[in-house]
Amino acid sequence: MFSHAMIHYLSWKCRFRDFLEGKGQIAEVEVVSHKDCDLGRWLYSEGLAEYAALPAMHDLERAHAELHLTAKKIFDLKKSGKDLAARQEFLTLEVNCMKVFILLTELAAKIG
Amino acid sequence: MRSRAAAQTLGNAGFSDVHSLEGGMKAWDGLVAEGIPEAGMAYFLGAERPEELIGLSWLLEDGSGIFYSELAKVFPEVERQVFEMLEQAEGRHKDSLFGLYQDIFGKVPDEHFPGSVLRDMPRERVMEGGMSVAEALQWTRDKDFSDVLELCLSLETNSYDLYIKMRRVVDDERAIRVFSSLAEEEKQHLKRLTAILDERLSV
Repeated sequence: MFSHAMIHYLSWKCRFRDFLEGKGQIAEVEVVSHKDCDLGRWLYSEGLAEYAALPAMHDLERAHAELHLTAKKIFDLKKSGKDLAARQEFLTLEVNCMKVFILLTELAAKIG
Repeated sequence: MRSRAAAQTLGNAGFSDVHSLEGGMKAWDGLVAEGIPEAGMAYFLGAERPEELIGLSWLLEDGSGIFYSELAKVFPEVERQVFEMLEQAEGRHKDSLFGLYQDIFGKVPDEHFPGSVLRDMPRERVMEGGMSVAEALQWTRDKDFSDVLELCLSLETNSYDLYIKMRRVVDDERAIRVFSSLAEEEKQHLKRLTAILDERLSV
């Protein structure tokens, strides 16, 4: 269900933000890989195969991979002690997340 | 994990064969994540009969109306209008569901509706997505408009999905019409919310 993916990402984004603000922890594996998160596992096992005909699905794949690239960059900045730069880069992640949200909504409306 | 149980109940209610992504989403390990209210709880009601589907839908619309009404109180003017629009829409949906109940059963729902038609009423107020209204409001307290908007988008998507499923499991033509109409309205909300999110992307 796309709504589940949306709630998952909203929660993930907020936990990641809390982590950057020193208010919590998040596992590195949850952040860096676009193939190992829940959405990634579904996309690369059945999602892309089943809905390959939908251009939005490929847009989602790209936006999702981009989101995790940004997330990895932020995580690396944080690890190397560049907290301010990490928080600034988080603005890019916000935009990445919005794009993923919009695509998930479009797909939900098409496939539903 | 509660969401797994919820998914099972959803299947028991006859939804599994109509959920286009259910099979493909086996990889999901549920949507439970720390820090956000869990969705799906309301499906524990295991609604199957038409009156249960109507009651469950009404219950979720009612909870969502309250959620949006509370959000409208805390956000400034322009953002408040979004929540007011959603609150009014939930009110209209409740009216549609009330009308559907009268059409099918030839009587006005009793004063205990929807509790009188549901096998099990949740102990707390729930809304679209099956979330607790109180927990969701609590979650929004330290969040900005974009976060809350994304939550609303998730909930409306969940609601759209639910009405599509309901439309497919009911036999009554009137119910099919109403659930189709509700699904279409949720789709319009999604378009509206997506457009707002899009605007924020271009800022």
